[in-house]
Parts: sequence; C-alpha cells; structure tokens
Amino acid sequence: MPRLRHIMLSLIFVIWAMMLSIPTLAQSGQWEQQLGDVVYSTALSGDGSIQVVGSRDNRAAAYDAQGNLLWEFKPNSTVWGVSTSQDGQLTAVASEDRNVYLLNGQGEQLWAFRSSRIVVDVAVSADGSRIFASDDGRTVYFLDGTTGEPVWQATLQNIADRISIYGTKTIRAVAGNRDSQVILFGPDGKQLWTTQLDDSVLSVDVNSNGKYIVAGTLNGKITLINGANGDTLWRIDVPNAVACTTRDKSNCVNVAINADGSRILVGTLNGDVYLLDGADGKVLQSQNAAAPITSVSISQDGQTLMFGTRTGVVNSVNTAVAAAEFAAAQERQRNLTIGIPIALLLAAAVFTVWVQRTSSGSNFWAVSMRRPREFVRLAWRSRISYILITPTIILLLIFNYYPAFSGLYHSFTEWTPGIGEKWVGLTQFQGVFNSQYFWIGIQNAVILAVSAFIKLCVPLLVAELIFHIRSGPLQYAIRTMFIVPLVVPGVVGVLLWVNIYDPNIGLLNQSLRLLGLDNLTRAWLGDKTTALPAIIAMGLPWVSPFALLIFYGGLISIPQELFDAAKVDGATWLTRFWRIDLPLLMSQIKLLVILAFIGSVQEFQSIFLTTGGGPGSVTYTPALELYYQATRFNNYGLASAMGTVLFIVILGGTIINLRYVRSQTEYEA
Amino acid sequence: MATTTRTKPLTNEVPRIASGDARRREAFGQFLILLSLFVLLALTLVPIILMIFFSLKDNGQIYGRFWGMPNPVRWENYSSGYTAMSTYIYNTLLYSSVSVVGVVILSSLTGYVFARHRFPMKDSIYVLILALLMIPGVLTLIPSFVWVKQLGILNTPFAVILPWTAGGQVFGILLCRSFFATLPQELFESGRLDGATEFQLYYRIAIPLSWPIIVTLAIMHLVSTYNDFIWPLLTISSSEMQVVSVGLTQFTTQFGVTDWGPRMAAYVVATIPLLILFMFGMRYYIRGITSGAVKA
Repeated sequence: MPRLRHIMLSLIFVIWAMMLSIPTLAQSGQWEQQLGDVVYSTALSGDGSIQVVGSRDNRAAAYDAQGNLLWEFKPNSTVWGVSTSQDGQLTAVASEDRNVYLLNGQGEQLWAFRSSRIVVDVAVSADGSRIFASDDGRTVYFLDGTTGEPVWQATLQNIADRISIYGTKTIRAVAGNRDSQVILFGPDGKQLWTTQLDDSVLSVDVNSNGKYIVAGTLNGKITLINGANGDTLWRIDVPNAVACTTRDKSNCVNVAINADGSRILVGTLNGDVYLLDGADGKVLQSQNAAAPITSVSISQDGQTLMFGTRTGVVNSVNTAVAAAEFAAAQERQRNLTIGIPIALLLAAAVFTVWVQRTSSGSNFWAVSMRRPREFVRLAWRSRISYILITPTIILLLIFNYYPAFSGLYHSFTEWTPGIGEKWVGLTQFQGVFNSQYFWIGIQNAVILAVSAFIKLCVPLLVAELIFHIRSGPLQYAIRTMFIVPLVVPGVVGVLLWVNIYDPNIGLLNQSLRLLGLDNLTRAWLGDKTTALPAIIAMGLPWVSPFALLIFYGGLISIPQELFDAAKVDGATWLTRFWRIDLPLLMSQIKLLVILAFIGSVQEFQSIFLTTGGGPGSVTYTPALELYYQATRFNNYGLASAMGTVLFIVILGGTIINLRYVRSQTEYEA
Repeated sequence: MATTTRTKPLTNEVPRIASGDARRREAFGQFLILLSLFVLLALTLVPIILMIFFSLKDNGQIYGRFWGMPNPVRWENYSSGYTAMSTYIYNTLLYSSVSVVGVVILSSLTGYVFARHRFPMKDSIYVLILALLMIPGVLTLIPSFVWVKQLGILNTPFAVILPWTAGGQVFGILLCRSFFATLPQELFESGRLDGATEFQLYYRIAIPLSWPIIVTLAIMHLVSTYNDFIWPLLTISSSEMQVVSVGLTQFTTQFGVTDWGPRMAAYVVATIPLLILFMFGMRYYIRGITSGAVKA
C-alpha cells in the first residue's frame, strides 16, 4: 500500500518539522534544589526574599530568592515545622527532639523551649513577638518571642497537626486538629470560636489580618473560613484528588494563603500544585511536581510560591516573572491568531483583484478552475454517497482521529487536562528516555516479543498435527476442543493464572509439593527472579485459538495437488513441511508475527492484573509506565510522549516486517 | 448464494497403501499424533477445569484438601457469584448490544457505499479509514480518556458505547466492503431499473444477502467488547455502571482476599454469556478470524 506509506512518511516529516521549528521555552524566575530527604516544611518571609526549609535529615536552612544558601541549622532530630517572621530575621523550628528553637537572621539559636512531646508544628507572628507551637501530646503553647517562656498553653481534644498565627498588636493563633476542628485562640488563650469541618484537618493557614483562614482536610477538600466568626465561605474539592489515607497525611493536602487572602496555594499527594483564587477557589495556575507535595508556602504579595516534596525537592517560583513569560507567550500566540487571518485575507484580496482586473488573471482562473469545477459537479451528483458515510466519518473523526492527533500533539506539551498546556518542545521525549522505568519496560517488551514469536510454534505444530488426523469427525472434535478457551473472558484467563501461581493454594506449588519438590515452591509472581518468566509462561502450552485457526485455515487452503505431488516424489513429512507447508504459510506467519510484535509492545493488561509492574520494577512494560504516568502522576504530556514513541516503534516494526519478510502467496487458491 | 465457501474438504485423503507394514506404521503415526494432541489439550484446559473444580469448593476444602473432590459440593458459591456479577453482566450486555447494533448498521452502510458507489475521493477516504488500523491503542488511550472527560460523558454508558462503536467500525467496514464487492452487479442493476432508491438497494438487496457476514461482525464485536478491560477501567468509576471484566478484578475487595470458591464461581458465571454466544455462533466467529487474516 504505497499510498499508506506516503501518508505515514509525511506524518513523520510533520512531526520532525514541529520538533525543529519550536524551541524549548526557558524557565526562569525560579529555583529548584534536590535536598537529601523529605521536605516537611517550608516558610517565606513577607516579600519572599528569605526562604526557609525544614527537612527530615535534621536540618533547617534558609535560602535567598535565587536559591543561594544563607544559613543552616541542625537540631538533633527531624524538623517538622519551620516558620519565619515578616522580615525573615526570626525563624522558629519545631523538631522531633521535642524542642522549639528560635533562630536569628544568621541561623544562630536565640533560645529553645522544651516540650514534653514531639513538636509537630510552629508559627511565628509577623513581628516575631509571639511563637505558637503544637506537640503530639495534644498541647499547644503560646510563647513569648523574646524569652521563650509560655504565655499560655492549652490541651486540645486531639493533636493539632498544623497551626498558624496572625496579627501584630493583638496576636491570635489558629490550630487545625485531627478531630476535624479549626480553633481560633485569643492572645490570652481563650477559644474564640471552633469550627467543625468534615474530616481531619491536615493543614491550615491564615492571612495577615485574620479575615480568611484556609484549611485542607483528609477527604481532599479545601475550606475557606471567615476568621471573624468561623463560618465557611466556600469549600471545594481538590482537583484530581487522590484518596489519602491517614498514613500519607503530611502529603495529602497542604495549603497556604497570602496577606490579603486573594491567593491560595495548594499541594497534593499526586504532586499537583494549584494556585487558587481566594474569592471563589477557582484554579488560576497549576503544575505537577511528579512527587507528593509535603509543604507549600506563599509570600504576602502572593508572587512567590514555594513547595517541597516527599522526594526532597524544593521548588521556588516568582509568579510575577513567570506571569510575564506567560503573557509574552500569549502575546505571540495572539499575534499569530490575528496575523495569519489578516495575511490570508490580504492575499485573497490581491488574488481577487488579479483575477478580476487583468486578462492573464482571468485566463488563469478559467484554466485552473476547470478541473475543480468538474470535481464539484461530480461530488454533488454523488451527494447521496457522502451523506450515507457521514455518520461513520463523524464518529471516526471524533473518537479515533482526534485522540490520535491529540496524543501526537500533546507529546510536545506539559499537559494538565482542564487547566492548560504548555509547549515544551522535546522535553517530554527527554523525560521518556531518561526514565529508568521506561527502559526497564523496553527491555521487558523485547523479552516478551521474542517469547511471543517462539510461542507461535505451538499453534503451528498443533495445526499440523490436526491437519494430519485421518478421521474427519475426530479432527473436527479436536479442533473444536482447542478453540474452547475462547469462551473464557481474557481477564478471567489471566486471573486463573494468578491463582495457579498463588503461593499457598496455587496449582503449581501444590503440584510441586505433591512431587516432594517443596524446596522449589515460591511466590512465583512475587519473586524478583521468577516474576517475568511466570508472566511469560502464562497460558502454557500457548495454543492460542486465534493463531491455531489462522494456521489451520492456511493449511487447508493449500491445494491438494501439491501434497499429492510431494507424495509421488517420495518426500518425507519433514521435507514436505519445510518445502511446502512453511513457504505457503508465510503470509499467515507474517501476520501473526506482526500481531505478536504489536501486542508485546503494548503489553499492559496481563502485567497490570498480575504484578502491576512489581516486585520492585522488574516486570514493568512501556505501556504500563505510560498508564501509571497518566493515572497516578497526572503527567499527561509525558504519557503522550511515551505513546508517540511506542507508536513509532510499532509503525517501524510493521513496515520492516511488511517489507523484508517476503511472502509467497502465488499458490493461494 | 448465501455464503462463499473457501474451505477444502477437511480430510486430505492420500491413496491407500497396500503393504501391511506401511499401514501399521501409518496407524502408529496416527496414534502418536492423537496422543500428543490429547496431552496438549489436557494442558490447555487445565485452568478451565481448575476454575470449575474450585468453584464447587469452600476455602476449607481448598486449603485443607487441595486435591480432594468437592465434598460437600458448594453450589451456594454460584448464588453468591451470580449476585456479585449479575449487575456487571447486565451492564456489559447492554453496552455491547447497543454498540453492536451501531457497528452493524454503520459498517454495513459504509461498506456498501464503498463497495457499490463511485464518487470523487472515494479511494482516499477509504485509505484514511484503513489507516486507523495502524494506530495502536497506546497512542490514543490517554488522549481518548481526556477527550471523553472533556466531552462530559465520563462515567456514563456513552463513555464506552461511543468509542467502542467508532473503533469497531474500521474492521467492520473492511469486512462488509469485501463481502458486498462479491455480490453480483446485475442484482443492483435490475433493482435500479425497477426504480429502487439507493437506500432501498442497500436495505432490500444487499442486507438480506449478507446475513452471514453481519452475524460474523456482530459476534466478533460482541466478543471484543465483552473482553475489553482497560477502557472501562479508565472511564467507568461507579460500581453500578461497571462492566464484567473490570468487575471481576474488583471482586477481591468485595469478598475479602481469600474467599476462593465464590470467586471462581463468579469467573464461571462471567464465562457463561460467551459460552452461550459461541454455542450458536462459533463458526461465524471462526470465519471472522480467518477472513480478517486473509485480507490483512
């Protein structure tokens, strides 16, 4: 099909041209650093110029807006919370070593307050005169900033995992606890109000005048509370929320709010970071960090955003700079969308004048329009044909063509469906080839493909054997029996093999025990060395009804005269197989090899149902990694790029197979 | 003329050889062939036998006496298996049937147009349809999911029915076109002379003559949609709307990990619709496989 090949070649050319023409957008106005361990807490000074990080490796550190280290402080254990004053000159650190530390602008310890339990979070007022801390013994402490002595302390019904503080003259404190309560304390420790939310409060933050309090809860909701009376202003579901368990609560929903309450930053378990409009909770911007977000912070002006992840990455971005970039990109886009139609209109106008006013023009028009006019006339005459195929074409365009082109296009973007996409050139493809899971997957796909080719020998053998049965009824009966497994739904087929491999009641281990080979028994799918072989062995003895039918169909279409001639020439069955059957089955073999190749590259379902890629990553396949990138990590752009790479691999393999594996079908009846 | 037969006689008779020795060797050869086939057959059917065997036992019997016969036979496994699967089976059959009707109507109509009509751009449009056979599922899986989400039909029956119908057409058009092309031109000529409209030619002449291929298409599409797993897994999240293949995997969480008897019974129950389908339509299905293979 040369035409098909042309289409494919031009498609590849278009992709290549797209890659060349658009350069990767440079990112600036931000820094990112890989720290050693989980970043449990981040904090920003009022203008975002001092950025403090607390992490699991017993470390609190401050950076400037460009990511240069200012100072470092090492308590004796994990840092659970950090907070800094408006000018960034006073920083409080909450540590698992049961101390609250107050540090000065050089990271030197001013005082330490010792609690009887682990301190889980801390908050410093804007002027640094009051420090609010919470421990896992359900106690909250309101400390004096100069001495470190408690002004008051209170014991709550449950642990307050996250706390906050606001005000300059009258300093009030906010706590969110595991009993789903948000509590506001006055300067004297009086509980001013308590609001009951619908799940454990995992994070809480308050704006600088206390008017807005934002809280993130375990059920994936974000609530904005009126600080004056504790009423709920609005409540939204986190977009693309992943179900959290109490175990990953520190990564589940993290929130931060800016000084006037106009911007709220949210970080989630699946790595999404959203900037929300404080008025209604609408998503303004989003990005994905590819790892669970453990902490977020926002500066008073809402321009500097910062987040930390479970994998120890700290990211800080100045949205003013990013917004300028975005605006510039939009400007370019707008120029294009306006400029191109205008240019086209101009060209059309010039062309019309030429055709209408000059003799050469009208001559050209008459000549060049002859064929199109004929075409339109013919097309109009066969309009009924077009009408009849329209439903098909529309469905195909909507559900087949559009997704295919969408996949190709979005390979070049950072794509968060429903929010937006950004052209990133070849970055996603770099990501694909740098992903170790993808390479493990490719390796496994090659193994699966080779074993799939080998497995094709069995149906060929069975087809030959059935073909040589003398008795007609017996032949029919056996052929039918081999096709019976078709009635078992594919998923059931895989699940039955999962059962066969079960360590306790699996048929395989039970048989080994029966034979006294107890030392060979194992968790076949759970063992790193046997997981992949076990998946390959599934379906033993691999008599695929599909392949069997195709081989058998091929065998019975070989003209009888050829067999008779071979018989007369005294050929043995082996010679006959090599010289007649195999060459004449070449088109069937070719088809099955292509299908096996395509199937192996896309292999996903059986892995998903058996090991899910594990143990570790030994049974990953590229398609499985693609699925996980999209569904678990929301990396739709990366998933699309993987899809494109696999598409090219499949296309290449198919073309090579069609081209170089010759078939001899001259004898076909 | 209902079908085109391409098959040769099933046995290939070779002239009888007189010598008794050769005949004995021949008989021994047949014995070896049958023996190896029976061994392979037994191995092939092991999972199915295991499934039926387990479905009649309870956990005590499975863990305690793995190799023992079901005693007492736990027929009640089937009632819990049926309870767990009935909604899923009903859903799947509903979605699949709607999609089958759509595929059959659209493919036969389009196949008819491509086989019988001449119109500008016909070949280019046909190549563009066939080109879809080259697009692998991995490329379109995620974009389709996002697209269906944007269309607002996620977690509704349309999320599976429409893409199934659109995707099933490509093979259906191929199948129908090649079949309609074999119908004699004279039938349509005489129909036209009698004043039949294009739609009447399709409905009154082409369709009645092509029942076998339409049944083949319907069965193949029904089987492939019944077996589809990934797409419903992505697009249908509510349990009341879920299909069989996904429902089977969620069975674990419903009954706890270890309740094997009812689980196996549920597998058997999930198999029954296909069993019934194949009892009536096996030969149509086989024809679909082989004709698809010859054309591809």
